[in-house]
Amino acid sequence: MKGRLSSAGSVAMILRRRLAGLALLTPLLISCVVPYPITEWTYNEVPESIVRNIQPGTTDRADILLRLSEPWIRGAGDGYFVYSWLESLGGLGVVGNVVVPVPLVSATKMRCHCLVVQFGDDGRVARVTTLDATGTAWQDMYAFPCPGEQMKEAIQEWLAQSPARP
Amino acid sequence: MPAVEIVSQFLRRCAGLVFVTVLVTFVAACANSSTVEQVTHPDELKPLAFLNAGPVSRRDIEARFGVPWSVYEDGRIVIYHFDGLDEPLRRAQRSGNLHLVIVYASDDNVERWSLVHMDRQK
Repeated sequence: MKGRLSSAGSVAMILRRRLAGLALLTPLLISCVVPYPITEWTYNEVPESIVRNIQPGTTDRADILLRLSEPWIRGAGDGYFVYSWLESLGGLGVVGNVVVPVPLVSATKMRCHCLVVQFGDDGRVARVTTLDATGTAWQDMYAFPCPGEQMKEAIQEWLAQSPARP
Repeated sequence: MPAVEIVSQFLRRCAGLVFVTVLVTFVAACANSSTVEQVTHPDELKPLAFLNAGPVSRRDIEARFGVPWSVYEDGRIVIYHFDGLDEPLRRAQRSGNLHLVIVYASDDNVERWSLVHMDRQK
């Protein structure tokens, strides 16, 4: 009887130890896949104040370059410039491995902005617009195409709408 | 050893640790601030004073900066890139990529210029 009790006690002790071990391991197992939020940021934004100050018929190519420097796209014969900037609207990522966190997957809502400035033959701004498009960046946010193919088409459509007049 | 003495010894050690931590943080902050001060006045920006000194010709500019990175309007507007300061300036949360934009007048002297900070992130 005493032996049986002792054996039951040792089994209970083993069970308790295993449960304690499991309790210790659980956070580690859970933390093997840890979600993390991706913050919002903007890269190379063209400030609204600069866009507002671009006056068709008055502002010239030199003014634009002095304020914004190199455009992302130089149109043929410098007939237009495209300045693009990328904005992260936030997202969610997951890292694995507790000791050395390894990014497994991330999804970030991205917005690509484009400032399109069309020049007349006199070198002054003929028209100006801003276009934007949203999409999802998987993994590398900086690899998100800005402008992407659709945006490039939209830019060409806008440029073709009404030719610049000197 | 009485419990009171153990506790007071423990507290003294804690105070010592806190003091060392504060000291190390202060020294690190001082070192970092002096680095920032140095990189915000890099050698590459000294030529800007030269640009403000008086009439500067295209020849002076090219002697100082060499061939421009980009040329617009048949050379009326030129752009020089200064990329060598990336890392320290990024640490200071400033632009690491500077563009010097120069507009020449018809007499080939500098008419206007600007320094544009690229890689702006917020």
